[in-house]
Amino acid sequence: MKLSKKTNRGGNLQLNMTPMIDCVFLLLIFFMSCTQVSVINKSPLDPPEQKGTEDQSEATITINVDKDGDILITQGVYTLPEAAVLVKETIDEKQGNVELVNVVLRVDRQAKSGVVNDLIKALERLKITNVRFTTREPS
Amino acid sequence: MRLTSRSGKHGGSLELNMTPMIDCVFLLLIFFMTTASFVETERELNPAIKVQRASARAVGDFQPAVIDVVRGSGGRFVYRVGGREIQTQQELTQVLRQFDNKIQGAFVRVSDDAIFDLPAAAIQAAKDAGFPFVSYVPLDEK
Repeated sequence: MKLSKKTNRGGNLQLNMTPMIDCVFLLLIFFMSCTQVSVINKSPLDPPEQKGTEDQSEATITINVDKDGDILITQGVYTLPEAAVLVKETIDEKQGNVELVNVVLRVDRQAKSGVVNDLIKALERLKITNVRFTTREPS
Repeated sequence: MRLTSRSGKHGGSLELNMTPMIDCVFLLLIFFMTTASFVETERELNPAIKVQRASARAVGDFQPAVIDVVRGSGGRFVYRVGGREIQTQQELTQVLRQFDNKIQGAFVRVSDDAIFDLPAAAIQAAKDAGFPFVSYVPLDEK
């Protein structure tokens, strides 16, 4: 099998780097734009498989409940009173205007609803009347 | 201000050394490729929340749709609508579609022991059936 005979006969071998650099830059831009730098609010859990009613929007506070019933906020495990204090602090940051506080509950589909019920009662005591539940689109 | 390079003026050919740049670009590429995590698209259900109180139990003139997510007679969790036990989300959607008074909204009352998949399905069923407002109510079992 003859490989690169012609170029070795005195001519200098020159690789055209332009297409490769083009591809590499395209890949770089793709990965840079797709990378989510901050996913700290989202714990790895399996939300209910429902089509939902609206697209995901920005949350002021995201409360995760995993399948063991642990309450996770920004990767830390909180008890119910601690979570309530955190929500209260968030409300205080908004000068007490609960309308500006968007609470999103990401609950694992296998979690017992008791934890959610307790959270809902705590949120209701803080005058929060609207929460959003996260769902996962059916595949 | 002189911007042109000496080599260009003196007739020599200007050659940019691309190697360091390509090295950096490859490093960046490898970094982003290894750290990229593709997050699944998520959607949202937006129920209002209500807490059951003694005064709320006295039903007035209207009869809103109340879906209880409770343990059924067979021991399994079911959706109970007006004493009728419903097993599936599809069936629940069909039953809820038959309600005339949708403007009053629907109430999903959830037992502590039910897994969260069930109330989520009930809220979705109520939304699919055309109820504009769906409330999540923790069921007071004590």
